[in-house]
Amino acid sequence: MKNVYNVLKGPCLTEKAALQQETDNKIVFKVNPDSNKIAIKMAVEKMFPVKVKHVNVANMHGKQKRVGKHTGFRNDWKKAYVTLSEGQINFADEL
Amino acid sequence: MDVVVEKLADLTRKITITLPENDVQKELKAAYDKVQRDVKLKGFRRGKVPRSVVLKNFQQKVEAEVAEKLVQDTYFSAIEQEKIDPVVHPEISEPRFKDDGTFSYVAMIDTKPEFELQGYKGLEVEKPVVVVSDEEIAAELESLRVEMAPLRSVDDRSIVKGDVAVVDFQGFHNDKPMKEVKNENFSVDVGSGRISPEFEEKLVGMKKGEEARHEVEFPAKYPNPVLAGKKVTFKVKVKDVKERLLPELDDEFAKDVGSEYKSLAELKTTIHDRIVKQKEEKADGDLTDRIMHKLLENHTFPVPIRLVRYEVEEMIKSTEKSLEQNGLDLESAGINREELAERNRATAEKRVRGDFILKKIAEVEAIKVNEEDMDRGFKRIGDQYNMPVAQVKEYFGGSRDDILPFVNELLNEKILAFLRAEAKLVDAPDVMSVSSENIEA
Repeated sequence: MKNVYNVLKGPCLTEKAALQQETDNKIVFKVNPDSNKIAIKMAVEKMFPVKVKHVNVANMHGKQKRVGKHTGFRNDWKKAYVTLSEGQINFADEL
Repeated sequence: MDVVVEKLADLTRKITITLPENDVQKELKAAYDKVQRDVKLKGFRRGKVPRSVVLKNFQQKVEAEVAEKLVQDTYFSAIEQEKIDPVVHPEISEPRFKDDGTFSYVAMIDTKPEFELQGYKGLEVEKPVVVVSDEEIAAELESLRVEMAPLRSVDDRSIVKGDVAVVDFQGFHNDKPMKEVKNENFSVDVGSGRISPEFEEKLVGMKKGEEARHEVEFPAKYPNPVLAGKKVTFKVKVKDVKERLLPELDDEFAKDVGSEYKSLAELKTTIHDRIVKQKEEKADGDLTDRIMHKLLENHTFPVPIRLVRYEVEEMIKSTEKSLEQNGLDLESAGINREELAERNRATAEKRVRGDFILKKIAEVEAIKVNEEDMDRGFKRIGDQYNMPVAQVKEYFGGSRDDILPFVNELLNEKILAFLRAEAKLVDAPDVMSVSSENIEA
């Protein structure tokens, strides 16, 4: 993980994410599967004016998809729950 | 509801309407609730999208919708409250949701002009006397004769005026063939001036089978703008020359014109009646013009600019439409939109003012369009489009909006008929001598 700009792939906009943002000020990102919690924390603090309290991650398996008789898989990805201690991120404003 | 009226000009009002927070927020909430219920966003189940996300994604759309609704709901009660009588749809601007939860917008409207009716009864107008001279009948007969004449091909002589020539032609401008100026087996009435006097002139003297090139200079005022003011070389081939066999003016001829005519005298009477009718209609039209002119002279009051603007737009539209029929638009006909509008403005203003005067007279005299008038109007439309009256009625029966301009027209006619009846008529010597110059002035 040389470059912090390679870590965050995008926001994860889901019901669960929206709920956690409201209740716990947790932001959910899709991140590079090679990145670790420390890199994610650095990347978030670099790209948004916030302080990160801690990071939880989860490895997600790509879904099995079928095209005709061929089956294939979507890429695996990593999801990061970033709990903020200071500041907020509003994706509608940022993107 | 807070309404502020500013008087910008004689008839123009600027109305600023501010709505209280309660009502506005209620509407907004209802609108957002509806969106929240129905919207489907990726990552959320239907109906489970949180309010904050809805707000971010749909704020503009929802606010625009709510603004429109609020305007529609409140505009009419606002003008009622202020006792303003607007003439056209308002121009709504600056709809704004303010931070304190209120909503305000500005409506620009024109009010009806207030004026006193000056003498409209017993207007002194010149009524033209309808006279039909023998020459007019003779001319009519002559043109019928030409129309009725059978054609016969002649091979052995060249074209003279009065012949019909069948030609192929191709026009060249600056040595380039013109796509629009080309035709085959085209019948030219030589000497009638119907196609172009210059072109027809050149055909005189040609024989069947002859080919030639003619140069024709079209005057700048030529009706077809493709040709107007251009020097065009025509390659012409005469395919056939036909001469007209003019029938004798006798009872036989009258029967040929129409089986209902038994003799030439009968035909003449019919023509006479027709001319009289035409002239009377024209005289009636002239009379109406004069009455309107007098009325406009007697009444000068400012008229709403928006109505005038609308009228000007309508006039431009009708110009465009007539151009369209010739396959043109304003640009290719070389007409500047602004200039056209400027030229039409005075007429439009007169029309608007005239309409106000007529409506006021109708009010004072209690002239209304009744069932009978409507039936007569329907019948006229039916005659015009070859439809049974019932069908016309059915067509208009469905929607009331369509019928309004039509009712308006009938009303205007009725008022004018009333004015004509009330007017003091002064005999004028003849239709011809009473030109329209006083009307133009």
